[in-house]
Amino acid sequence: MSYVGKILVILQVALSILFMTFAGGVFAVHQNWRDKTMQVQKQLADSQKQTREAQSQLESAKTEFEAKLSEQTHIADGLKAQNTGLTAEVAELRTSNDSLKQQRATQTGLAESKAQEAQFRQDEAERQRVENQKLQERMDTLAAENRELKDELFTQQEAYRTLNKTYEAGLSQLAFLKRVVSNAGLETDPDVVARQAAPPPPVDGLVTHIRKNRANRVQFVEISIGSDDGLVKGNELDVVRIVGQDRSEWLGRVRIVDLGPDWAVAEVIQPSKNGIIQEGDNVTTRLKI
Amino acid sequence: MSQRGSKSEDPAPDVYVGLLFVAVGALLTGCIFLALELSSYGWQFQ
Repeated sequence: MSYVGKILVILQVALSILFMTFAGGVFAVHQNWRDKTMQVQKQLADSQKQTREAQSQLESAKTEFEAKLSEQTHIADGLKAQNTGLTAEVAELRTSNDSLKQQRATQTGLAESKAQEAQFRQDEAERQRVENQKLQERMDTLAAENRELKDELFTQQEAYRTLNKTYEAGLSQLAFLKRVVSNAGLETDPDVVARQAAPPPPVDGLVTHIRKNRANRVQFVEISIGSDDGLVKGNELDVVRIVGQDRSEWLGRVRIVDLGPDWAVAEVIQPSKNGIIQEGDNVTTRLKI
Repeated sequence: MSQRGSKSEDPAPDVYVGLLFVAVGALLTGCIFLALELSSYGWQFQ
């Protein structure tokens, strides 16, 4: 190989290595401008789209805002009118508030007095409650006693009915016996019987009428004293005749068989053998034989 | 270098032949890098 061939070979080797180095460097550090262009165009389209959407939203918001502004303007006008009315109303309400404050002060005083009264009533209610409890306990006790008394009353009523039956039977028997005794000519009044058993009171009287029997003897005499003088049927009196100042004659003894307030009829039960009873003779219970 | 028509044997490769192989390898590597660069652009030249 000639000297020039050797130089060319070496030059070719150097240029080939330099070509490989530049190609590798370009490949290693290159940027894909096409992808970047596409990406930027896409971002631009998105931005334009967003801008259009934003403009449309802005237009609609503007329209809506204008409508709202108009509406709010009307509302503001109405509110101004209301404000004027409310200002007048506030003035009236302030006047009313002042009067209400005065009324409240009055009512507060009344409420305080009512509260004191309520407290007093509550205290009184407490006292009444205690008293009521005592009364309730007493009422319970009385109710128990009432039940016992009702039981006793029922028992007594049963006993009363039994006694009433016995009493009615006794009354019937008594009426029967009174009829029997009356038919026998005896006295049935206990007072009269008691007075018959007792000695007659000391009284004096006169014989007003006499009645004789078939044997011409005096059987009955009527005297001038009766039940007003304390005489009763069965009393025995002595018939005497005063013949002088210091002398009298016993004519017999009579027993009262019937009498009135100021008269009595007596039967001669023990006539005298020496004298005959006549009208005007004296009768007495004072004589002790 | 042998003359034309002679039947002498090929000379033994020397260091310059090796340099030529190195140059061939460097050219092939550079071509591959450029092909990869064009493939990233989709083989479009505009």
